[in-house]
Amino acid sequence: MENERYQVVGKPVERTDGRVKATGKARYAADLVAPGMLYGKILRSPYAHAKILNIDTEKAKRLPGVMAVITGKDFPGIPFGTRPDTRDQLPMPITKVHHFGEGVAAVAAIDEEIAEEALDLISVEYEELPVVLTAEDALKPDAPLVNEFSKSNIAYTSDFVFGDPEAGFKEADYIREERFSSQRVAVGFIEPHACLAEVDASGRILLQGSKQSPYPTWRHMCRALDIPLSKMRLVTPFVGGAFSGKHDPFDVDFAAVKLAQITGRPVKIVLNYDEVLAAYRQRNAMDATLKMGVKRDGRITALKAECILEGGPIAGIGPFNIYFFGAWLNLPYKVPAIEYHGKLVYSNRAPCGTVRGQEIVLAQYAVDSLLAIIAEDLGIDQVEIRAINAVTSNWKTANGIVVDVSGLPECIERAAEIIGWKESRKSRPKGRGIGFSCASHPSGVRLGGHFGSSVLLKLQEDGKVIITHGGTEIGQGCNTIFCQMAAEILGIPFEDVIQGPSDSDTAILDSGMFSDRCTYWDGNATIAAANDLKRQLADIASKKLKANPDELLFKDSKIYVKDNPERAIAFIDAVRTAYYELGTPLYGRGYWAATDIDLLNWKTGRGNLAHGTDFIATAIEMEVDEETGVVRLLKGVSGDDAGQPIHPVMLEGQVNGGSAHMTGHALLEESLYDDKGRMLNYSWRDYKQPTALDTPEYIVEHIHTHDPYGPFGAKGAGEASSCSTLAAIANGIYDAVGVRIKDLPITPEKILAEIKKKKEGK
Amino acid sequence: MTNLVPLNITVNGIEYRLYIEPNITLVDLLREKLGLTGTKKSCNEGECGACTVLMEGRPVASCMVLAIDADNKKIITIEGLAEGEKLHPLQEAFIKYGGIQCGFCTPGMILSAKALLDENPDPTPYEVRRAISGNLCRCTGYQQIVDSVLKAADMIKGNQV
Ligand code: FES
Ligand code: FES
Repeated sequence: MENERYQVVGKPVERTDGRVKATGKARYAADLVAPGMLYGKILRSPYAHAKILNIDTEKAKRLPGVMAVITGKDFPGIPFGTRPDTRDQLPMPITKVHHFGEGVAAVAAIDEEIAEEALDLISVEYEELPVVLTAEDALKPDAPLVNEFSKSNIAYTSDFVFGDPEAGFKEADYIREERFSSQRVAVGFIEPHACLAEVDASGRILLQGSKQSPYPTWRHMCRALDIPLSKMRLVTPFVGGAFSGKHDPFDVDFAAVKLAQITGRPVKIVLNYDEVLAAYRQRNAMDATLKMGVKRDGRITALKAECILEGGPIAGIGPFNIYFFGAWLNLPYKVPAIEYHGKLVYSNRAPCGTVRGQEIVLAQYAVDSLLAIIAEDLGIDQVEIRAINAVTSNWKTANGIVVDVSGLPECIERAAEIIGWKESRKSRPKGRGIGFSCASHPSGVRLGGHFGSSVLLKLQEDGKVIITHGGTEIGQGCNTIFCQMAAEILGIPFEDVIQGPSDSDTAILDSGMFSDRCTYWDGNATIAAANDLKRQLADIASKKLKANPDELLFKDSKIYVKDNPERAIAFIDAVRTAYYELGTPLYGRGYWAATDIDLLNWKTGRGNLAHGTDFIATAIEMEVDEETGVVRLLKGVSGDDAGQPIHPVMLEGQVNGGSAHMTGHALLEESLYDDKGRMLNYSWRDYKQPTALDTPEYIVEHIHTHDPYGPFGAKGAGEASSCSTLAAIANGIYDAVGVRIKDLPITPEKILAEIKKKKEGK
Repeated sequence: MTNLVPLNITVNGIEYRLYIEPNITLVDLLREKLGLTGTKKSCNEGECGACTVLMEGRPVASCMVLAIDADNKKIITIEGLAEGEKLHPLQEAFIKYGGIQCGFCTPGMILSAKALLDENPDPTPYEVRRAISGNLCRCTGYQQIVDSVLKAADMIKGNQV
């Protein structure tokens, strides 16, 4: 019904990058070449924590074919970071290394073999320092300091109280406290980090790299290189997945630029995947204790939580992570009162950013698992307890997040129905279980005044529109849906809107592709830009049609008077008039930010944070072998409220993908370190990501709602889907064999140990 | 300078006579020497399947094959699937049914699927999953890739009727 209102929105149009990707013609960073190009390689630290006493690069420099060798000292020594109060990283280290595999020097040579050989000729003198491996190590009073820009191993804290938790616990009929933990995991995109840097005759840098959020990369790089923003241009080629692992600039990007500056030649650096697994972004390790009070019927009365995230040697986007964990305990269930204490600590493991779903994934895992335990204790049906507590429309959370529209109750109902929850309660084969879980996620948060999105539409004289936005197509399909939205507003065919390149010279501010924000924020900016164009065209058409511009409709490549479709001119005629008669070229300007959302107060945690809360309810059926402890996922179902689907097939893909991603986190994946902080499994041979045989058949049911602020009523989708899987799997294992594992990943060994304990009567 | 060795290789129907370093892998030959960058490289150790190509019709991880071992062999890469503008049914289906997101796994995925359908034109969902289990994808969760392969199988059968 809704869909019939639209010509292009809601339709499964051919994705704009489909053909070029299906034919192998899409160029990713590693595919780029430039005349005179050199190959860069990075020398990595074998220690997790050590002073750098000296780096001797002379021998390497003398190797024929080597054009330059650099170390941290070749950079200005200006630290950068996500927030002004967390500028704690350098392009490459100068005084000490902070984690295993950290880049300490880089080489540019005429071919890869020579570059490799040169690395062997660099000698680095280290003095080993004691290693801070865990949050516990970090918080010891005499712990060595990890980050030289910080006087403490606590990188950030977040504490807040909303409502009256004390009264809430008093009012509760039942209270339970549990501790949950989650491991280090890799981000796991398939394309390794890669870039190509060039410097032109004026000294201006062109960096083409596999980056997720060009704007922060560009700003942080210019700061750390001590150059004005105008001295650098960032172009993003096709990106082979990102999932929050490619936001900030890395040593790869800095080294390529510096080597290009020194040699005057283009420099390409492409990492091998073992380097990515060993030394680049992972998800924080979590240790959280949650206490929940409920009434006899399962209604939550209060929640208290403490969380420590161990995040590696830099804060990165960790301050957001530690705040989000607490903020998102307020959803997807109605929590009238909450107390939260969170700490982000430094360590000598690989630096963390985050992974799909951010630390909301962990918060939802903990809160939903605890609810499941309580339901068991009180003998309440798992679906029922979720339905009782599910956030409904027009709800305001204790910490101030306003939920305008919630499809969660319906998501729960449909997921339960499709998986066959009720029947499964009557009987099911031994070892079979169904895990149920709900989650929610914001459609882009407003964390700072500069959070915004902008879109430029150039309407050419041939009637085709070129769209430029400040985000990145990382596979999520944003380039396609922005074209859909622009075509819808302008009443022209989808094919007439063409995606332009992602180039910092032409694109304007966009804070980045994260937090499920791109459909929502950039989508709204696209609509604003298309409306701007429409106004210009309506002005022209109204004169020709002798009508009021407000009365005009744009549809089927025509502009016509609302109640009199006969009075019309062709869209292209209005365009030609602008170009050929009036000399007024056409471009639309659009920007959007949720400016009616309060800026977050980081000290008090107060702020309504985001519009467009999206919801999901997930049910996963599984089989657990009591002899081997092996879990086989049979079928997954998600009822998903992403508002109005813009592209139903791609939306389904986002939900499938987010869920499957977290099956790895729940069952298979863990970045392992030895006691010296050296990573042990930095190859896909030993670090297991889910394959097609590990993931279940998956059904996605769209629960169609209409968000009042979202573009065409849409909400975000790609990350909410990752937030309900962990608990669904943990809950399902309990349902199947009656053991609850609270420290992820849930390996067969852990399951067997718990089964054994249970058999022995605890 | 290592001694170069001769290589005769047919890639996407085009015969090449080359002199190559004996230690160059097939993936590097395709990408660096022949400019066929559709074949992707990630782990370089046979674990991810991004570099999958068909050698004599069978899927191989081209990072694990020395180019000299492809002497006198026929190779198909992703660039060799479409006939001019006309896409292979697998390519069509991947585009239409959500088999592609970031696209980095896509070339390898499509070639593994092609090897399957060439041998087994009517696979079950499980057989599809097994056939692509050597190809990692982080974006799609595999469901829509499986759907795409099954739809392509239908399309191919339809065409043969
Ligand atoms: S690059 Fe060959 S299998 Fe990964
Ligand atoms: S589509 Fe991105 S890895 Fe498969």
